Amino acid sequence: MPGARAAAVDDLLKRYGEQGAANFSADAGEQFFDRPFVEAKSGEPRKCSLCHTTDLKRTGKHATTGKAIEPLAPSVNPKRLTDVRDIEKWLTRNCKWTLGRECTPQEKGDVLLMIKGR
Amino acid sequence: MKNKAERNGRVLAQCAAAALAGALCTVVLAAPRTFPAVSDSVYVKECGGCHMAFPPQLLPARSWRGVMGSLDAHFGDSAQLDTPTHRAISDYLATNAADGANNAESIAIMASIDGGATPDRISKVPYIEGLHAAVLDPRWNGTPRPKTLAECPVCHYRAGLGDFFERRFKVSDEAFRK
Repeated sequence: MPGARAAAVDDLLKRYGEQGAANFSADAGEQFFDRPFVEAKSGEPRKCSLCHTTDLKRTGKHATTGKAIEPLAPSVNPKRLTDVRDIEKWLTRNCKWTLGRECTPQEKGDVLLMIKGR
Repeated sequence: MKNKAERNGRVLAQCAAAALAGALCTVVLAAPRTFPAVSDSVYVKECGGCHMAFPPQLLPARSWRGVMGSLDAHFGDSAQLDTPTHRAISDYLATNAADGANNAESIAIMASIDGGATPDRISKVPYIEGLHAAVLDPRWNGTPRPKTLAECPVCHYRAGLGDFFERRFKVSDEAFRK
């Protein structure tokens, strides 16, 4: 698992680098994770931590359906960050819900690096 | 997991052995499932990440087609899938939908839907909406108090196995006096 995770994250950071992002920072990722955005239509506040909480070792909760979300931190949930397609799928979907747009390669890289260290 | 027939068979065999030995034996056979347990791994992974992987037998094929045709705006969320995954899940849902299913609940579901209607969510099926009217009422004062009906297992704690008959919730006398 740690090998697959390192490979998947390296692969994605390289890809984001080729798309123009640079100097990925886990600190920036941590700030981004708790940054509030406003949903355009309803005006309701949204942020990553709304569902995932700010403690990535804890179980989260889907804001709409209430379903439990397994912890993101690989230290307690080793399956996390081991599949490039899975990571990209969730980043695409969840950025659209949270920000109302896709995340930039820089935002994705920062968050990825932050999650990897948890 | 062993299937139910196998499990029941094993219990019966053990009881037969116990009876031969002159011992008493109590057999509790599980109630029949409402629907087959959802077993399609792609469907469970892709749809079950955000909500329970609902048994396809809960909606007619035309409703599932509508759901799968608007995944970019899926109840306020983006649930887009790549093309092969989308096709696989669409096929699974259509093949197992209520209008092709031969169980009492699916038949009741289909009977409650107007021929020309296409419910866009499970809780809009008249039969299901009716059964849950009390829970959906803003004055519902029981526990748990689900925000939506999306999470069946909150009350139907065996729903993951396809069993919707078993349910667990509390309503106080107080709730009835109001």
